[in-house]
Amino acid sequence: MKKICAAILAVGAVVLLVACSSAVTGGKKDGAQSGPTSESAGPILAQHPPMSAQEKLRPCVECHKEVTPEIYTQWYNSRHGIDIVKCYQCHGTYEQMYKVPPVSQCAICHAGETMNNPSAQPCWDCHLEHTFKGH
Amino acid sequence: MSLTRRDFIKRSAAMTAASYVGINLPFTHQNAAQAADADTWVRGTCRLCGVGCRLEMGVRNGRPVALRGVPKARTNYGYLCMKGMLFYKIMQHPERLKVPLYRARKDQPFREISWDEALDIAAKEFADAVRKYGNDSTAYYGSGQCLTEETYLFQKVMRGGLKTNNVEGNPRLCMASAVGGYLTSFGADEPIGGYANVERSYCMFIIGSNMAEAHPVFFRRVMRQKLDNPDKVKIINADPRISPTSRIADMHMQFRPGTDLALMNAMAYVIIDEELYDQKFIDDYAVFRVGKDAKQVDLASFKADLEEYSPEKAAKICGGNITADDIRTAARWFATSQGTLSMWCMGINQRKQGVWANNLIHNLHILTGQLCKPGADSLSLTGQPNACGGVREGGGLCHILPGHRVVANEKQRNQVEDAWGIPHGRIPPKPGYHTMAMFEAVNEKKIRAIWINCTSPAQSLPNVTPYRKGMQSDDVFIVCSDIFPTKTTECANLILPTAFHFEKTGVYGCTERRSQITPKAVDAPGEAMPEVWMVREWALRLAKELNDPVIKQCVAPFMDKEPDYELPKAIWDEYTQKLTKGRDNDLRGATYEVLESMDDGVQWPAPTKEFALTGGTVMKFVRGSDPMAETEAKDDKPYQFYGPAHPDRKLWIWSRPYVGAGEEPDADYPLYLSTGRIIDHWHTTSMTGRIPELMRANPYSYVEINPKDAARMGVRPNDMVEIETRRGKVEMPAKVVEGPMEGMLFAYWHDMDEDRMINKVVNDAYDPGSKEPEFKICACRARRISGPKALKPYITRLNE
Repeated sequence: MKKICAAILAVGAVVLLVACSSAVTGGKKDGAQSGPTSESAGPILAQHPPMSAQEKLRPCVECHKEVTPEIYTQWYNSRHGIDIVKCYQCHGTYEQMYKVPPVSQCAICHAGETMNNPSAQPCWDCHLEHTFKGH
Repeated sequence: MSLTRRDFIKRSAAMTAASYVGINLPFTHQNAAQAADADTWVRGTCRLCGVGCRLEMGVRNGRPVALRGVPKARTNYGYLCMKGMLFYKIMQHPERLKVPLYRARKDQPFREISWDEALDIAAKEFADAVRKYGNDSTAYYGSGQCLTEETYLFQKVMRGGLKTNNVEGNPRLCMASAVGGYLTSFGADEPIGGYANVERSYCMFIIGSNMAEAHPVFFRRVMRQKLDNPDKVKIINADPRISPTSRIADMHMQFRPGTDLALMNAMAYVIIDEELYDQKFIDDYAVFRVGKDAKQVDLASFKADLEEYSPEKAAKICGGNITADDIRTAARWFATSQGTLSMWCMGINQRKQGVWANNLIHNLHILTGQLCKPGADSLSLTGQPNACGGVREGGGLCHILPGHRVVANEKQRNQVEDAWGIPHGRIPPKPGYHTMAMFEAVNEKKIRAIWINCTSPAQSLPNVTPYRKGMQSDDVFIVCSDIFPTKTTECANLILPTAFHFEKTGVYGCTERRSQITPKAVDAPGEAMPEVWMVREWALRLAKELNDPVIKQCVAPFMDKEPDYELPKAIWDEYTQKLTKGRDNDLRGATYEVLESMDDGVQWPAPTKEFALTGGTVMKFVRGSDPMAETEAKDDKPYQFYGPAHPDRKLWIWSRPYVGAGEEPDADYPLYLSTGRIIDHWHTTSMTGRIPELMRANPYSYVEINPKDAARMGVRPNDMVEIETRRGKVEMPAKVVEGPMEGMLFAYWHDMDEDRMINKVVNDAYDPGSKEPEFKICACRARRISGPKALKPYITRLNE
């Protein structure tokens, strides 16, 4: 029981910390969400605000255009945006949603690049999530 | 990237806390590409659109758990769209059909029966129909999503066995006009080039296509070519609607629906007027023709026919944002680029003048010599994954035979009968019913038994209400083979559960003439079986019922072959080695062994294994690229147009007038209605509607309304709008968007819900040549019904 409580607290702490840092850096000029760097280069599950079944029947962008406008704009103007790679392809849907997806998600389309990544860092450290500039 | 101390502490703390709980996974190269821990990865082709992406299915403990792209495949280079990423999720879906289901009458619920009973019933009903009403009271309606082996075997049993050419498929609804266009312009079906032209192209003319949503992974290549060469590459997007495809366009030409014929004639006018045509190419390779009897004329006559399509006159006809200057610019870019590539899809094909629209695109390429050289091609985008391979090449339409032969040609009928070892005269000399005629014949009780495979005409036919009513009658016995309940299984007597993609083995041939194999990777659920097994077993029983040994002969080469691999392989071998030998789609080199060894597949013609292993023919008709250009060469010119439909071996430039749509707006129905797909959903949603990610992205059909029209109608985003035509009404929520031009609505067609099923109201007028219906244009009126409603997505279930 103690372990479970500790686990819940820890998850809560992670969520709060990540959420807070987002709020702090949201107004940066480059618009970058603060996310993990190579120090914490693993996936992070999302704690999406609870939605009713009806509310879930909406494309992510419908809310996120307003809730995370910079990310939306970065994505929309990126190659993913032009080629219509949608949020759920990287981040999943409600039953298993990632705030920071595992790199194995990238590898579904970018297997070659992922296997040949010369650095130990996840893709977005250099390619900058949502904008995803190429070489 | 330097961190402030504050950020660093925050992140470390987050890291530590997360590690404590264990939700943080370490990043290493080794597990980077191993999504979902599969035991094994099986390479195959995507189940969905006509691009033909190659992918691998991850299997763990006999279950499909993931999909990922094949980086070296020359179709998709490893990329997948969301449908290709996620379709594995439907394979173990609880609603998969698992046992045969039967009801004698359509007002009864279905009950489970055994395969033996099911096949006996199917055979008896078809035999009864033959005995009582004749062979042509039976029919097969298949799909561009069937494997080639399935389509080939079905049509063999229908033609050689049941002696009827009532063999059709849903490509009649999407690609027939493209076939007609290729045959009448080039003398041979399917594109001369393929995808490789994109990376060498400097002008791309995208008309009647929203390829960003309908062919997303191929669009990626177009996008990349443009973004990598922003100043050198020109993209022209011609569409009455602004779509996601328009984002990369240098010029968006927005014309009144149906007036693209005038637009393209005007581009031809400019090419001739400004002498931008390639005289040598025309002299060497082309002739001008006009009219029903294809009378040969000259350039002067062709030019005279274009007088009424000067840019100024055409701009008036087209309306929209079309100006004479834009027409001139587009024509100049087209003619003078180093390599011009046209791509089109349903906006051009699903038209009463679909064949003519195709001809006019080909005209532009022939006039300017934008063919046969790198980057230059007239590339029809195929909608379905196997409309080309299975239906167009395998003989799946009422007027054709395998290997690009035609029913009407006695010599070719006899070739097929000889290949099948059956007597001459078994294949009837006249074509059967084309699709719209077939379902009219059901209504008129001329067809009494029909097998519908892997498609849902009760939702996908235009003006679907009367045809669905006919299918619901107890006067027609319907067998429906599929993986899920659909609007069409609702009209069936007998439902047969089929194995899905990767649950059986077979070949798909995609847009660019490339045949690619998908092997069995996992077992089908319950008692679901591959279609090739069903056809064989059914044929054996038919032979007994009708006491006709020739029916048995049709499946004799396939006896005692296990259904998962040996059976389809034997069928593929017969088709390729016997029926495509020496034909323009020669596939003899593309054996299962060859196909299995490749990252992608083989572009025909590929008469030998050695050549097939290189990938096959990149550019048809070009010596050095196409081995048949050598063997069929009649002179020493570099291009040899040996297509079977043009005995003069020339490309034909057709004089075609602008003729409007079958049903234009008028006082009662003042708006244009057009329809189309969106990226997340495939066709009737029977598959994609069962994947939560995709359903949530587009839970219902919407109607796009131009902001000016919306303002006039008092419509706001998500308001409910009623769309009415002469054929009925539907209601949909509205998107107010600079998508369709003013005076035009654009509705998505995927929704199964009765209230939102747009095919109830679209027009079933069809092209007189290709018989393809005009889904894309009809007249409607619309009004706001209410504010937003909480709608429910709808997928049909069994015994509802």
